[in-house]
Amino acid sequence: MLNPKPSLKTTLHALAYLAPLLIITVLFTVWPLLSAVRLSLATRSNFYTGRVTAYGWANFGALWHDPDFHRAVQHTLLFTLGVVPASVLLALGVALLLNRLPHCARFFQTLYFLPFVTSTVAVSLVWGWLFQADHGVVNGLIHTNIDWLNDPHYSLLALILLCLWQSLGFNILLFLAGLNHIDDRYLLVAQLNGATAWQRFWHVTWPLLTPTVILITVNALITNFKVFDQVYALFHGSAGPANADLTLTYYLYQKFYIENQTGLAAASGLVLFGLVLLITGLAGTYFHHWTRWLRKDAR
Amino acid sequence: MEVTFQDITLAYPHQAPTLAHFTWTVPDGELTALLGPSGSGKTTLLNLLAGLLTPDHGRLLFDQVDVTHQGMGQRNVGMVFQDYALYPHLTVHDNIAFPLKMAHVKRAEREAQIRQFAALVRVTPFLQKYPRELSGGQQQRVALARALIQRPAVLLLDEPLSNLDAELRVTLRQEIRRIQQATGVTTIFVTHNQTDALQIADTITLLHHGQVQQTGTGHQLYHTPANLTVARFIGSPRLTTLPFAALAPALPDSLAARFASSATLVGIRSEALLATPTPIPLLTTQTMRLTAQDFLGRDIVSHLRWHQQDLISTALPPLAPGEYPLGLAAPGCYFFAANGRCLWTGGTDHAES
Ligand SMILES: Nc1ncnc2c1ncn2[C@@H]1O[C@H](COP(=O)(O)OP(=O)(O)O)[C@@H](O)[C@H]1O
Ligand SMILES: [Mg+2]
Repeated sequence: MLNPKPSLKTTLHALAYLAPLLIITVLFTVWPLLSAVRLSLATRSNFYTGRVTAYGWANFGALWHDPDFHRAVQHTLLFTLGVVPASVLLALGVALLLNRLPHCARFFQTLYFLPFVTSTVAVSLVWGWLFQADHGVVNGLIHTNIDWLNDPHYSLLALILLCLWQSLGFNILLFLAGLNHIDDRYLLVAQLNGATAWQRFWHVTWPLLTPTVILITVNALITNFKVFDQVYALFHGSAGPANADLTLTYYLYQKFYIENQTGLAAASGLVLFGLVLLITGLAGTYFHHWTRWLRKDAR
Repeated sequence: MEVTFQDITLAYPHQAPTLAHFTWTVPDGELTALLGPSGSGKTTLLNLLAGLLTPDHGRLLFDQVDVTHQGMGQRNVGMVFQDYALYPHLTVHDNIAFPLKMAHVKRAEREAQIRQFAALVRVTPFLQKYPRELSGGQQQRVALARALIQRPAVLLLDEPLSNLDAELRVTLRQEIRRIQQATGVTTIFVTHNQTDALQIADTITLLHHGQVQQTGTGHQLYHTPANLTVARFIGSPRLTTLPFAALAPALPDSLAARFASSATLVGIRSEALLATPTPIPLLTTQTMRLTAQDFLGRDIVSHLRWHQQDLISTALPPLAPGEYPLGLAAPGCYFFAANGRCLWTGGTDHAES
């Protein structure tokens, strides 16, 4: 029985197979999302009974006027639009270098990969120690006397360094896999075609690496939208000196768990959701155009 | 451009030298086939030419200019790989444009050349397609255009037909011939297939174990082989051989006496064993036993038995198994010395043809 025509019966049949996953998705993704929308619009409610007595835009209005929220959005945008490209390029650079020394590549891979499998709390504690003002290794290395974790001018930089370093190893590993996947002969042909080293990279390696770049960028975007535990551990349960390391997720956490402002928390969650949608949407559109050659129906 | 390998020695790590004191000249402007079994060192030679390998010893000359230590980019060598290696992320147009783009050729000039070369290899209708949307033969042409557009001093084709089906093989063989003649570029065509080499090349060089066995036209290689290796490699079905001593009593006395001390082996082409009577002058007529016949389309391969020797003929009509008087013609009958050198080629002179 090949290719039966779709009918009500076969559709129901398919639905039966999909049901378990559908139920889980609805229960844990769609329902909470709808609840969040409801909560964000509730101006007066009882969280424990879930009864809402008044609706309105007041929560969003409050966010609009909250300088802390502005700061959180700024920082999250900095992470997704600044730190993400930086971490992707950094990982690519290191991977290209590692790719050239086949002998110790494995050793370095392991070395770079360690932070990724170490718990964020342990990592943050170690970095907290490295960043110490008086006897910290970082200050020792660059001959400064900065109080990285208590000076609002530097604490965000400290957080960024930690996040960059933490994700570097995994990204390098992905890039190395991607580079391995590129047939050497394309580079040979390019060399015979008279391409310089830079031309070979820009016209052959980089475009052929596109799938890997997309994978890493999307993964990095997701990670950097969710920066929370690094902040929590590095600054011992605060958002840094004078909230200098506040991110959207951290803001949400503050509002919900510390200040019990469920409406505000839900509203900020929705803003975060919107941002994720917007930025991943933009990235997706761009990548879609960029990978025309990968698709079957390329035209 | 004339290419000369001068006393080149090359060994891969931890191996006996693949090439030892290798000397070979590729004539300017011709299509030379480099023919040899798998593992004979053909790809190694091309890689030396392209600059992917550097010889341990010896010199490589392009028109008397020493290029042994020049990099790949400087030599201006065009190469088409067995599976073409077209850039998958570029359209046919951009693939062909690639070498010009790398050389910063102006756009208008570039487009004009792309049009010209696309027309030459007949891929104009596919210019906006991606490589994976093309058939093997079309990809092959694109790879040719990409190699030719940089006006290479030498064009290297490494087994360019081996991924194609039989029909396309024939077409593309002719195409490559036509394109080579249109451009006049010195071309080396590597193949392990004797039919390809015989059909396409001005001259054929037969390579075996990293040594040039013979260089000449297909006709020369077939009719006046320099040694046993060449005689065995060229021709189908394969040359049958028997000890000279076994055939000597049947040969004319003068011939047998002349080679009695030097020849050890006789090689017989399948078309040299004929049904008698025949107008063709014969060395001898012997009664042979026909054991079986294979019917391969136009050809009939007859398996023969004579004095405990197995022989093959493709010149007999359909016959029932049994004893027949068969003639051995001089052309297609070779005598070889113990070291494999060919001493006598059926009375035809080595210089002739
Ligand atoms: N990269 C390599 N490393 C080691 N040995 C090689 C390598 N390439 C080829 N060889 C050896 O050199 C010989 C010639 O190989 P090759 O030039 O590829 O022959 P062909 O192209 O005629 O089949 C073979 O014996 C092969 O094993
Ligand atoms: Mg080969």
